Amino acid sequence: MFATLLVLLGAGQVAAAPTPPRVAQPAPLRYPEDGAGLVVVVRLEVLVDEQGKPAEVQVLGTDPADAPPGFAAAALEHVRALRFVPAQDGGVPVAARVGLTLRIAPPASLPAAASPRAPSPVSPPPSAPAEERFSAVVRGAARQGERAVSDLRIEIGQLRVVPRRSAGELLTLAPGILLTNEGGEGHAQRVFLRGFDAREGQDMEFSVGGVPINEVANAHGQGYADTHFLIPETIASLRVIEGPFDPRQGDFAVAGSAEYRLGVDERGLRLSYRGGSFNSHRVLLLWAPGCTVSRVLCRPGTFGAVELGQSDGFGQNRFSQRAAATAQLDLGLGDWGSLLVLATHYASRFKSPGVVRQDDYEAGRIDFFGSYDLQQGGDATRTTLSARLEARLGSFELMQQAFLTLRNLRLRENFTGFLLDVQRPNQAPRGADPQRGDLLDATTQELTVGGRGAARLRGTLRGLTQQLEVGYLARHDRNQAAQLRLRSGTVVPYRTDFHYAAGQTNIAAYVDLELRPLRWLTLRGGVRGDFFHFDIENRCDQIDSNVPRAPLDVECYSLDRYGYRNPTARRTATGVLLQPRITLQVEPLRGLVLTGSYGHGARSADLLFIGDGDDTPFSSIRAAEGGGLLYRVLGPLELTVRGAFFYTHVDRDLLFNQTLGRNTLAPGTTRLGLLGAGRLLGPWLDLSLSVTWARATFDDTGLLVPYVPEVVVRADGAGFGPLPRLRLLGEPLGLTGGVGLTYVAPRPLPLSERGDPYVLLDTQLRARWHFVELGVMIENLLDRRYRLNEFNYVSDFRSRPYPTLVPERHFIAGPPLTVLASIALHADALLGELRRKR
Amino acid sequence: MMRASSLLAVLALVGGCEVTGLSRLSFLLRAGGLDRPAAGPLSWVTRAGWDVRLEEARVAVGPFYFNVAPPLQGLARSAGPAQVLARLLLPAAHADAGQEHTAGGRIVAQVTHRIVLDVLSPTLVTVGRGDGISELVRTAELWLLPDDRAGISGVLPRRSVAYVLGEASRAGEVVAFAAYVVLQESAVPGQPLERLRTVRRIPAELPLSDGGTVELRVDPRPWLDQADFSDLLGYPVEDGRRVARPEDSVGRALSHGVRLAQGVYEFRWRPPGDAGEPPPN
Repeated sequence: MFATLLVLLGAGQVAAAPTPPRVAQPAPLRYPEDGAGLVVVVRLEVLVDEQGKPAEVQVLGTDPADAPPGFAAAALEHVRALRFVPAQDGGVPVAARVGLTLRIAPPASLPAAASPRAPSPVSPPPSAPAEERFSAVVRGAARQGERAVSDLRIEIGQLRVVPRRSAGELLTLAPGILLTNEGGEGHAQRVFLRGFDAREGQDMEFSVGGVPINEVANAHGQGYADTHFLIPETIASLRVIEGPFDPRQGDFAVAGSAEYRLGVDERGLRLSYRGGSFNSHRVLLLWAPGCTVSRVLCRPGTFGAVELGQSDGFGQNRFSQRAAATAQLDLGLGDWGSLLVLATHYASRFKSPGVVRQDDYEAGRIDFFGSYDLQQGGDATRTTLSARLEARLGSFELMQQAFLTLRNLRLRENFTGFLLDVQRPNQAPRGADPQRGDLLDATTQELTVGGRGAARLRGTLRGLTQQLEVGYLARHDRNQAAQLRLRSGTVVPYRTDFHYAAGQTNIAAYVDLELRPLRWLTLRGGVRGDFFHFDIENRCDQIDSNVPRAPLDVECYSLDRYGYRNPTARRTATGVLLQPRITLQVEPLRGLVLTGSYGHGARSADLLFIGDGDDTPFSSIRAAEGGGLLYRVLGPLELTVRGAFFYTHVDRDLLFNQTLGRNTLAPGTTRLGLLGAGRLLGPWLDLSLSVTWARATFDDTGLLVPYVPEVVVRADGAGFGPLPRLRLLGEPLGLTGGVGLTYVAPRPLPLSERGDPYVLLDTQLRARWHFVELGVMIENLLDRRYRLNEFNYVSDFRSRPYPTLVPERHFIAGPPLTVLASIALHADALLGELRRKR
Repeated sequence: MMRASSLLAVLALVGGCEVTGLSRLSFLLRAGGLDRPAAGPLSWVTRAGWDVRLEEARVAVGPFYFNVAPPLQGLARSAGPAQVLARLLLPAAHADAGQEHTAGGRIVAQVTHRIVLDVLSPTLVTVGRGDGISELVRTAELWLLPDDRAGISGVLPRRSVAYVLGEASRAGEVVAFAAYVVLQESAVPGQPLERLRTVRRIPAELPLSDGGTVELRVDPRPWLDQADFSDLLGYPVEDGRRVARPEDSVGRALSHGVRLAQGVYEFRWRPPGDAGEPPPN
């Protein structure tokens, strides 16, 4: 028997893993009577208790999927007889849930069934050769709340069945996160988190397998992070840290960070189709080679996936098309380490409805799901390559990663209608003369190259693990960004708002120390230093002219009051910032961890606001959090409950300005709040509930920060497992169902108003029989008509006889009842069936 | 579900009953002529010494916009006439009058209705309901449009925005006259039409609050202050009157007068419950 222990490393860091359980006492494994000479891989999940006993064993699946049931029974029998050295956290035994993969091959006396002329099975021998592989590590208290109570490592697990159609929506598994979208299917989602309107990434750092996603110079908004290129089925887990408490968190980690890890647990070839409401169609081809195909390629990190999608959308001007391809190769290098190579490609084209004025909707001048400007929409492409090497050299763990991203984005949005266009002398208000309108055309082209690395030294002092990690990030972005205004209808550009080419370099280093002076006391922390260099060529430095007799519409003007000038201007600047972060954990009782965290974070400056030679004006963030986490194993159930109080202060915030179509500087803000969350995990259910209250105010006036929801409630529930005694043509029927509930309290809007609260209920049911899986997904089950986004600002969409120049309520409609049916074919099981029939 | 919703809504408001600043409001706009005891012909002596008796005077006004920018008088104290003129004439016109369309300031309230007003009647008539935000209005702006989608232009002859009928006499000369204001590009060369059609920076100290009323009084006397009615003596008589032309002093005076920011239009604020508040429409 061969056992390999694989510690999965979190993206962007060398894993700070506690010691997983390991087999202490082997047990016999019999080859099943109905084995038919087959080689079968059985995947199990085992809850190893603090005494090292397998308290709970569950078969997750077999490879091939249609393997005779005797393999699962044999594997269960084998694992229940095993005894483990329990997982340890700083020398303290803790319960842990691990994944276990058994490869059961016939004894040498039996020929393998791969041969088409396999002989009839013979009497089983007393034991069978097998390989065991741990494929996941502790998912218990030891991995929770390392940096803060709200440091969440979220295994998607069975909650995948709760309707979520994009990678971004998985974020809602973390407490307090609300997502909205103002720009259509291909537009990055707007994130609200703990009192922050993090926009599309300005206040939240996103990364995928260590590759940064935030765009430093996006024309729509600094930090724009679009995760639509991720195929949801390829996301294995998510780490969300709400707040800047980990020295590895970098630029934009103001409200927090989200780190996606890619992988596919269910191995095999899968072809699925989903379609339904609004002429929506989606095809997914996913191949995650099983261990019967290749032992090299059967690690969970190895897969290839292609996704094609199209939809007319749920209202006017919401058409979208998208294609995404992701391939990842996870090569094990024996005990030495691993190599992870990732390639993603993505392209999308989408229409966007934009906002609807409340007064127009109430007067029947526009439909709830209508659109004023049918030219709104966008195009997005993204290509990413990454290679990541992880190595272990004795007590050292090393990681080195290089990445490259090419990104193009075009967004056409009209927030204000016809408010801002300069009139020609011969035009009549609302007359026959065409006004050009305020349709913005923002384009961004960005090339990102960079690398990151880390080295961790681990040792013990009085039997307790102590760790030191140093790491770095080096990133360079070359980009061009421009925003034009287009003529209504003809989309001919008539004005340049800005146009620049820029280079930004970010070099960061950190030191992170983990000290455990006592079994119940842990001190984690360190400091991060960031250096930024900006080189900006403003290609349209003089938009207007104040030169007498100059024409009305001038841009990139080459004349000022002193004579000729070059219309471009160059600015360079640098900035340095040190950010200390520290966490203190106390474990007064087994399974109860009290955590206090403090962190200093920063957001680099928007290129538009940088002057030549200036020290870069960072937005500085100070955050603190205190609370507790309780972890309990209750028979077959695993319960995690957490509660925390948080405080954040930002000295220079950003707010979205609809008139400018992008973020603008705002005064300092302070946030206070509470969160409570729990997750209950069992052999047939997975429940998650979170409630977050946050209050965000401006420092100078004490007024509320608009748009930020004060209360967000999210509940997810999944039930799963085979239906007892229910078989079809001799094959068991498996059923999985999920429900998701979102409640958003009335959001403060400008002018002392409140938005409407809403409750959303989504559900999905899947039934798996043999190689076929059928599903029905229903979003907005109650068919609530709700406003996903609400605003108060001035616009004039020519919906009234005369210009409207005072703020009015605007909204973006949320999706109505949506029903989608799906079918998935698990080709490995199908091929197995065909083989058997032959 | 609803009970839980209500509970959470209450939770949302615990410690969170603060606001984001300012508030939206609604008010009524009523308009009438010069405040005097009764309607009827209006007589006065102009600066040019003409004894004028107006028998009919109407003006088409609206929409109305209210700004936080101070009136030009205040501007003039800190800047010379040349700078004031330059600020007014700088090419910053916006077709739909954006947030800075009045060469500064910010629009905080509006009444997007229009009315043809009998300025010889002191009775206030309702123009329409306006909306805005709770900021102090310092100046008002009104538009003078020749036509609109509501089709009220038929009330005024010749696509005019204002007209007057009356009689002027001086030193034995008596002129029965009619005058119209037609705003078109040729009226003032070099001026954008949009600028010709707006009267800006009308002083108006209005502490708006929800449910109140804005009153507009229009005094037609300054319209003809600079008119020399003897210019009309050579014109033919039509329906018993001599009709002023845009180029004569009566036409010019009327065209200039209806666009005067001071002395013609007076806005007053009546808070909710004020004695002057009209019964709801």
